Amino acid sequence: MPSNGSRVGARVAKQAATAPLHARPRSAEDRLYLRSVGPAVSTKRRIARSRALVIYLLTAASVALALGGRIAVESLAMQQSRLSQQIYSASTTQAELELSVGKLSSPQRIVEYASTRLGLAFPAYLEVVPKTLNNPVPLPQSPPTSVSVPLPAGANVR
Amino acid sequence: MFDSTLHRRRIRLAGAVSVVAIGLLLAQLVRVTSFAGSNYQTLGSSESQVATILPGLRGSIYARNGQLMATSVLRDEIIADPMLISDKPKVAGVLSKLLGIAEAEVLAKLSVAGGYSVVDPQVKVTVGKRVAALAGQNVLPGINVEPVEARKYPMGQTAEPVIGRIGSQGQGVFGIEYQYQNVLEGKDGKEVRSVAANGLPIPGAPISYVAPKPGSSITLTIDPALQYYAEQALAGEIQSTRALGGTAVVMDVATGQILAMASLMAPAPTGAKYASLPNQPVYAQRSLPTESWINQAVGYAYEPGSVAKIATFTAALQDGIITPTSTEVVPDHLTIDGSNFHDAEVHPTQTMTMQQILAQSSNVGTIMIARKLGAQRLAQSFKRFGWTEPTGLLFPGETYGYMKPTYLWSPTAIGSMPIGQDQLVTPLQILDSYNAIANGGIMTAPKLLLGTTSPSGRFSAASYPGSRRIVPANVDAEMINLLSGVTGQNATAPAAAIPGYVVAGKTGTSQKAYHNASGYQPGAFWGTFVGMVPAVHPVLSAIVMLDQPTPIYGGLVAAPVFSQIMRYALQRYSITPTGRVLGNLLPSVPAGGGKAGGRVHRGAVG
Repeated sequence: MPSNGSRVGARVAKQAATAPLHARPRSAEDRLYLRSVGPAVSTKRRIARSRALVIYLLTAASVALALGGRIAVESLAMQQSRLSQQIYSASTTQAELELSVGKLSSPQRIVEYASTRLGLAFPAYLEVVPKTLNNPVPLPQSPPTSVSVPLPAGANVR
Repeated sequence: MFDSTLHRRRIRLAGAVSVVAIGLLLAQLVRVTSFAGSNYQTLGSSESQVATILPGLRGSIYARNGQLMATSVLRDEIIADPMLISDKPKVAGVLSKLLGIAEAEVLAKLSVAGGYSVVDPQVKVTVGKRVAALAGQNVLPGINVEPVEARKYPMGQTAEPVIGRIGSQGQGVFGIEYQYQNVLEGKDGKEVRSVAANGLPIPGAPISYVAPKPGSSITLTIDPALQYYAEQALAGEIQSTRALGGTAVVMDVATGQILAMASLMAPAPTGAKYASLPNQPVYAQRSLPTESWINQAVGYAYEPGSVAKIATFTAALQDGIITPTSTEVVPDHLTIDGSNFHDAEVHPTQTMTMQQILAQSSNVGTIMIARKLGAQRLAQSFKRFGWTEPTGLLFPGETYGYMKPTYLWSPTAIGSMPIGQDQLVTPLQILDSYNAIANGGIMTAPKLLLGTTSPSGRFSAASYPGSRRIVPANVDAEMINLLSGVTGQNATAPAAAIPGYVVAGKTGTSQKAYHNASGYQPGAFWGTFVGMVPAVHPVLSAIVMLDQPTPIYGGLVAAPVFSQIMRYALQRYSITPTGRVLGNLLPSVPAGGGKAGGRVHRGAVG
């Protein structure tokens, strides 16, 4: 009857024979070698993980930045729109006010007001009185007399 | 038995059909995404987006003192889609209260056939907002509010033929509104917003926004107070002389700026007829259409009558044919090629001074001088004064008159041309000629535009042709002296006199020709007076012309209006009898003022 150790040995040998090449137990040298490169593999993983994290963070930051930028742009656009509307509204109000001033200062309205509300009228005779008394004595102008009226030019061709 | 050949054929056929179908699908995909993408995008977004046109307001028109003469304001147009309104009486009731229109009237507008009805073309923006809010709450279904531009003229009808008006499409149709359409017109903006399914706008920034650009404003040389006064004076004379209409223009001598340009037409009575044929009885009071929008100062060319004598006298003085002190033996009449030309009154052959010939407007005396001058020199004199030439104003509808070239003159033309027949000229051309005399012999282009102001507030002065001397200074002074006699005793226009001031000018009374036939309308005349004041140093010049007045004479109908307007103007601008301008409402003039001998100092534009 085979000993327990030999049975284990046989099983291992059988597994080793049937196992895939890469899963087969390494030799002592190989194990030594694997032992020596083991920590390097771990670092690579860590680096890979860090890279993934960085990429993740960068992506998240980019998305956040894009979102933030979009929100800022939208906010500025709203502000601009609001200001434009305010300017537009202010300019239309200004136009309305100007119109009111124009109507109020129209000579037509003033004359109408003066005649209907104040009972004023244009003078029948208007004499010009210059502003200053230092003017030279006005030149004499003959008063209107009876006119010697000629026939119009157009009526003269017989 | 399994037929492998048939099976293969079926497989190939199915494969080919699949390839063609996939190919068609791919082609459609490319077409939809690459070539027709924008169309589908537009279709897709059309239901969720609303575009609003923001009117770019038309620029304003100001007078020289800043008085507003025309402006544009924003209004809202209330539009209904009757097909979307189920309860029309209810909507009409609400709208009636908001718009201040009778409910029945609103209901009638909501009951029209079709999907478009304007309920109110112009309501104030505040009212429009209330209507829009109620429409959004579905209280006023089928009611839309659109912003529109409204043109307002706060001075009413004053200066209408000059300012002009705009048409239904917002385009200037005559006057300054038409002439400066490109300057005044604004550019519409557009705003696109997202809306919800119920049509309410979604809060947030607009999808696109193009700001409206207002038009530039323009400032005229017109003085609104003088303009109004001139119109009142002219209207009074039109009424008292039962004239068809008339025009009055006041000009600043040194700069050529037009301070007032009145043009009025009496309304045509019912049944007014044209006097177009010689054998048709003339309805003397109303023989012209009365379009109030015609600016007669530039749009009417007429035979000027005796105001044309300025050309003969100026040329004769310049060429030494006459002097201010020379005399002429003037008979009662002259016969030229079978036609008789005679003076107004029968008189024996008499010796007349140059001043008498001009002051009494002697046709025979003027013709005698013109014959010594000759046709060529007379024609050149008219040309120097710019008759039949553009004035430089370029006003819409402006005509430049007509004068035959000398080789077409008839034998009697040397008799008719010097006394203002056989030629057509506008009142503004006449005024420009006399203004040149007033300005020391230097002709300046008449001006109506001071400048334009951009929406950003930048003012650009208008540019005009430069001044030019047309009469030597010494001849000019002699002419003013001769013209001063016209308003004196035993002259044709004492009614133009202004106590304390010397007024120089000339009357003109001329027959009206038929519109489309030869000959003159019996009993129909133009009455004109053109002059300057104060004659010592003219500051203002003006022309008054009346169309078919009764009495017919320029000295009786136009001269009093001239005097009346000038009295007001002299007072308004504080002009002394010696020509000093003490007020600050007239433009400043550089030293010399363009006139030999120097002009007076002035203040800035008021």
